Amino acid sequence: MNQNPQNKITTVILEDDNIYAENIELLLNSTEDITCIKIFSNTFDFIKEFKNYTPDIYWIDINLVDGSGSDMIFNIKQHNPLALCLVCSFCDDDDTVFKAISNGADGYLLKGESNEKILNSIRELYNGGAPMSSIIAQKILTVFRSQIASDSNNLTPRENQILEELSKGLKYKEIAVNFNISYETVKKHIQNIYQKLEVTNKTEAIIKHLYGK
Amino acid sequence: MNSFLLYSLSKKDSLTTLFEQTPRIEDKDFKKATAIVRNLIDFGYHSKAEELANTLLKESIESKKISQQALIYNLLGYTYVRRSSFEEALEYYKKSLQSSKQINDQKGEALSYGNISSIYYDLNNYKQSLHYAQKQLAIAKEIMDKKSEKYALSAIGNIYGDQKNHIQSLKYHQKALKISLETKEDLRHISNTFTSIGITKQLLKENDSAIYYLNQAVEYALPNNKYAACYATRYMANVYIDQGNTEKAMEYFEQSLMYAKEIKSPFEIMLTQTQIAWIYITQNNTKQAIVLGNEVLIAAKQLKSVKIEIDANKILYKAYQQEKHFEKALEHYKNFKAIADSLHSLEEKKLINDLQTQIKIDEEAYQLKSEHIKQKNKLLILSVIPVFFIFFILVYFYYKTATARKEFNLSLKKVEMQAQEHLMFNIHNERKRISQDVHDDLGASITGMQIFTEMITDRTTSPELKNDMNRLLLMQKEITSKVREVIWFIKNEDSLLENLIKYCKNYGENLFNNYPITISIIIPEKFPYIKISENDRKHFFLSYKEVLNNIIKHSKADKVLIKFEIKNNIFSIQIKDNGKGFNTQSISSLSYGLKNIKSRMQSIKGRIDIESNQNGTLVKFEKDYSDLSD
Repeated sequence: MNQNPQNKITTVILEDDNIYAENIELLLNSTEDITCIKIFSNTFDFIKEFKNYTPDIYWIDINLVDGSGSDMIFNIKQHNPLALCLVCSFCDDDDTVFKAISNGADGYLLKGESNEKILNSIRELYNGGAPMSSIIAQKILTVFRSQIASDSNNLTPRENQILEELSKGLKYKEIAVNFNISYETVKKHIQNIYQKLEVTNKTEAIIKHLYGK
Repeated sequence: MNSFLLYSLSKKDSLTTLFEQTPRIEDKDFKKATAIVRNLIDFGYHSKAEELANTLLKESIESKKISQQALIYNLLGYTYVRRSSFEEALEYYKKSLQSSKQINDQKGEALSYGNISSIYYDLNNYKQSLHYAQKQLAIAKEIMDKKSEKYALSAIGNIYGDQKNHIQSLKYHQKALKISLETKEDLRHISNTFTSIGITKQLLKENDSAIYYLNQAVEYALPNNKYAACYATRYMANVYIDQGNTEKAMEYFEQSLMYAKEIKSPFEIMLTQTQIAWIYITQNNTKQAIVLGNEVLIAAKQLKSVKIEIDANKILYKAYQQEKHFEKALEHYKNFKAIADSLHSLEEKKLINDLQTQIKIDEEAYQLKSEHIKQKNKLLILSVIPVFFIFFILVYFYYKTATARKEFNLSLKKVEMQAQEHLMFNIHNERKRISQDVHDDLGASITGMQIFTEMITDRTTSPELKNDMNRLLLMQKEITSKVREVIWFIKNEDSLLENLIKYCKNYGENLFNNYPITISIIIPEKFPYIKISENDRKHFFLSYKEVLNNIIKHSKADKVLIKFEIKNNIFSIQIKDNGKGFNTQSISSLSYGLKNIKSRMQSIKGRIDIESNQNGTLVKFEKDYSDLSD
């Protein structure tokens, strides 16, 4: 069934706030090159029916009433790895952002951007870009920076993970619980980390990790 | 006269000659001879009996037949008994005992014990009598000689009876009776035992029972054992006197008298007559009483029975008194008194003897008992020791597990505390999350509205309207921004210095709740708006925690003062305790995690000061937040 006779950029919207959904649909449909073909307001319906549609772009909200948009991105990518997912969320905290990205988000907008920005982002994404709100971009840069630091040290992934947790201020016991390993194992890892980073205590190790050499 | 007696008398001389001629005597002949001797004794021919016995003795000694010797000694003893020469009798009986022991004749031994016992009884030496009777009993039981056993039991019963220990007396008589009744051969013994029991029952005031037993005694006595019958009937009469039935009593006395005359026992006759005379007196039958009394008096003098002599005098005195024959009465009274006095001392002696026997018996019983108790105690101690042992082991294990339990309880408490901390943390986080969600929704709606407003603004051509629309849009953007701030604030509210201080205070109070340390925490009244980094927050808190732990573990303090201060944007924590302090210079301060604290404060660009002496410790860490404040 040809839902796109004029060859517009097709979008499917997953958004649980009705006011936002209404207005974004209105906005998208007011353009000449973008059209919204379906709106889902919860993950339950989405999972059931999303395979019936093949939009150019998925418009995904993260904080959904019965689940997380990030998970939906995962499902979409599983079904169609080439699908494009644009996240549009109100919250901008690190965890949400990174989870979305690691699940396959191809762009990330914060709610509240101007209409122009919104529409341009869609077009950009359609044309192979990676649209982002500036705050989000900054976050990613920070993460990338520490990732480089991690990569340039010769710690194993696990050791890096532990170092990361240490930097957050977790105690050995907490780390052990989080990674489901024993306290002694954590200690051993930490000894190795000290050795590899050529430091003698936790503080130095953390500083090295956060600020590099 | 007994035919056998005649024969014996006749045989005696011939036998003597015979035995003088033939040195060896066969056992069966010996037995016959001893029977003859016994018969002679029974009928009072003591000297003849003695003569024969001595001959037999000579023979038995020459032929070295000790068993025969034992028998002869017994016989000789018996002759003396009949002549009331108790001392001599005793000697011979003891010789017989010796002989029996020599040849290990336990039966003979028992018999001798019995004989000796009865001599002592007659001598009123109850102590010795009991002693020997018990010996007889012991052996009799051992060799299962029922005859000897029952005689021993009877003897002991009699002794107890004389001691007025009626219960024991009864016990022994009944035992003897039981054995006797098994075979029913020795009717005389059965009858006499019944009588003994009957007498005891009377003394125990069980008259009906007494009558029953005495009746049995009479039954078993007749027709052959007239002696026993006489004995039984006399005591039967006594019971009826006790019950006040003088008629019945008289009946039985007369029966008893009849038997006594049949057996021609002057002694028994005398005894019975005395009793009858007493009844006459109570019946006021003075004439008969006097007649009988005189008869008894004569007999008593003849038979040298002092007691009965006294009794007879008494009877006559009473009778004459009734008759108002005062002269005669007085005469007899004098007699009675005189003899009574001499007897009185004898009686006292007897009383003392009785007491001594009783004491001896009691002593022996007590010894036996104490030995018994000793044994019991030994057993008790032996059985108690393992109990104590087990008890101590249990106590030991209890203490061992007590410390383990203590530790367990402590660790349980720790886990509880941790769980609580965790819970509070989770609740706190949950609240935050909810709050954030709500604001998120709000934010979404407003930005949705923003989109629409913008669309309208774009479409508006009128500059005035466009202006207004732009203002509207701005307002909405502001609202969005505020909402975002709220969310951010909620997320980061922990990073307010104020919150760190409050958290530390809470933590400190909760921690010291579990220890005997008084704590007082001072926080600022007003909090300037200062935010601190996650790092700062973490390091401050961990350092603070470390110091508190040190206080608990090492300081032995009982008072802690904590002061949080923000002065001129310099945030400081001071922790003071009154413990034993430590050497701030020494290396061992490492173990108190102080180096850790130092490096922490270093890493956040803060400062730390530690002062410590034996009166306490003061730790101060601080950081200047002047450039970060609002």
